[in-house]
Amino acid sequence: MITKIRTYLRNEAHRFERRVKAKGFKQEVSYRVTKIVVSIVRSFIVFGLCFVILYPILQMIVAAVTNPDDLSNPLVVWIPRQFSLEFIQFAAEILDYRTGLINTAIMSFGVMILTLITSSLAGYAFAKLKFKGINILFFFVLFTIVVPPQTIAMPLYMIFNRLGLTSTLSSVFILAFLGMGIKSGIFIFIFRQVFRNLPKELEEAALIDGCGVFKTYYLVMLPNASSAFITVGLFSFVWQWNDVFYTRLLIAVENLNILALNLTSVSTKLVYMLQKLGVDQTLAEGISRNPLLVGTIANTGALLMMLPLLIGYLFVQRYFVESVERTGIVG
Amino acid sequence: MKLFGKRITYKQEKVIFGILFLSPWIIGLVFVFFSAILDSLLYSLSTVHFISGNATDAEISAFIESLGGFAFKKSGVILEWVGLDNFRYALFEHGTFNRILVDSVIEIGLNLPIIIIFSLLVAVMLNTRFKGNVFARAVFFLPVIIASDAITTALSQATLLQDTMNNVEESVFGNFEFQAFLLEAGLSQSIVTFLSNTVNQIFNVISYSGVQILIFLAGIQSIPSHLYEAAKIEGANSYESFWKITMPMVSPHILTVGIYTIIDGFVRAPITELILSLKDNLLYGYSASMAWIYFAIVILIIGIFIGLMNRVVFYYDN
Repeated sequence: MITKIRTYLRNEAHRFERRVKAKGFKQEVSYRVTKIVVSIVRSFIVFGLCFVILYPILQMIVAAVTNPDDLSNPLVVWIPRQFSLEFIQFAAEILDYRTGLINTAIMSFGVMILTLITSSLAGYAFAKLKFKGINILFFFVLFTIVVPPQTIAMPLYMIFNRLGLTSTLSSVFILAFLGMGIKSGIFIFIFRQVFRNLPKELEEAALIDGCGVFKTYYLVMLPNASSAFITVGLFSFVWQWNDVFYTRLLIAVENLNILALNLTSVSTKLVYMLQKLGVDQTLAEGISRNPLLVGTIANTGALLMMLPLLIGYLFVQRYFVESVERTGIVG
Repeated sequence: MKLFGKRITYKQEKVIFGILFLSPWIIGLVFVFFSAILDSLLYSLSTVHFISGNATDAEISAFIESLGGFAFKKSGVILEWVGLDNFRYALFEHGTFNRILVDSVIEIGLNLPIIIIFSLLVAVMLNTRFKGNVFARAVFFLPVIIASDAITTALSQATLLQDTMNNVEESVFGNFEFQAFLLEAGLSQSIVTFLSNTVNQIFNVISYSGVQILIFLAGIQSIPSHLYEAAKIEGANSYESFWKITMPMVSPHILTVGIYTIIDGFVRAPITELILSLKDNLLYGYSASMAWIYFAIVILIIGIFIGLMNRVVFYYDN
């Protein structure tokens, strides 16, 4: 160890001497000092902000595994005296976690697949299969992006209500397939940018080798746009998972367990559950007004809801960052 | 390729497949988007009466007669034409609409510059190589994954829990002391309030700017490196090359990021709550007119933003 440090220092000293000879002592020192100061300031800011992001998550985790007695104990900071899974069990019960998780996963996954199909096809058409009037259609893509969802919320509900599709997952699926789901316009836009950046030669080579339009799309263009598929897939999955607006509008809470919806009505669910356990209604409502209890349950519930995404993020985090950079969305 | 026994050219084939590829989206545009937006416009100009499930046609037409004036049945509801009354109600009679609308607009106006500057700075920092930058990137995009209204709602109920865990007296006192220090230093009250509010909502700013950081990061990485090399040879330091190269090259993305930020705030805006609560009370007319006013203002803001930005933006191609 010590010899390692010694050789490192010796090498550094040699390098420094060489630099000083080339540039002059003053420049070299000021260059080094600036470099060190910049890196200190940068790491201060970057890791400070990392702390700001991670702090609430860590706190949620700690609050979820702490024994209820330790929560209000001022002597306990961060590391509880006794770990317990009581709150997690309780919150899982209130959120109806198992069915909720399955429903939410089915919903998000289905929406992801349908969004990928529709928006990649549409994006490809906008980029490579131009016909007269397609620019007007593309203008409408941009228009769907800037219209706030609340403007079309009520008629949307009426349309699906008339078809008898509210409070089923199919309403969300239909919206995704028709390219009108959560931020679908942005996804079409991303695919168009990516397909537009693919060279024309690819298409010509495919044509010479006897590919029709669909085969060109399927065999040549799709594999080349894989980064866009990753980006759009991830975003549509995550946004659908976290969405409250469309889900609350189109899927009634009572009929279908969706985690995000259950999480927004924790205190009502608490009253309901206490009543089911045979607690008197007034008492149940009183208990559900205890902010510390409701808060801890809501906190644990939020953790439970984001847990699958967090675990998934650990694995796909690399693709997530790289793919957005490689899509050339901005190029 | 052959179609109905006739040979068609590759060009025609492309058109056919173009329309075919677009067909799900076009169906959605016409039957969902256009029909919804038309309905919404009609709702905003009328009072909406609901038809109970077992009403006969005769009863419905009798009801329409009894309304007098101009009324008609449209997609399951009866619309009684009232002209601009709903808009008048929203703007001049409703108790809180104006205030909430102004709040929403101010929120956009304040958050827009903060998020743009913040995400650009973070993107520049994340782009440089330093120890632990893989970790830092992973952490910075974490909020994209977990930013959810459901979680925000849940955590807003858990403030007492957080206070209990944080030993709240101390942290509030610390913040307070710092504010007093700034006031003593001669800053005006409004600036101090603005600063402390911004600092206090740093977590929100971070969690709303994940996608924006990604866009900027991609933009910075698409800048050709020979520009930096040339600048370095000419003797520019990294500060100068940031302002002379990075900023102009990234400026078109400021437009993208800004518009995305505005769009991203739609569902979070305080006005959403009001509009949805009116809808739940079956006051579709009022709710629709408020949504249209909000839409008009958002379009106005986007227009102003694009207008302002077009003076600053630099396009490399031209």
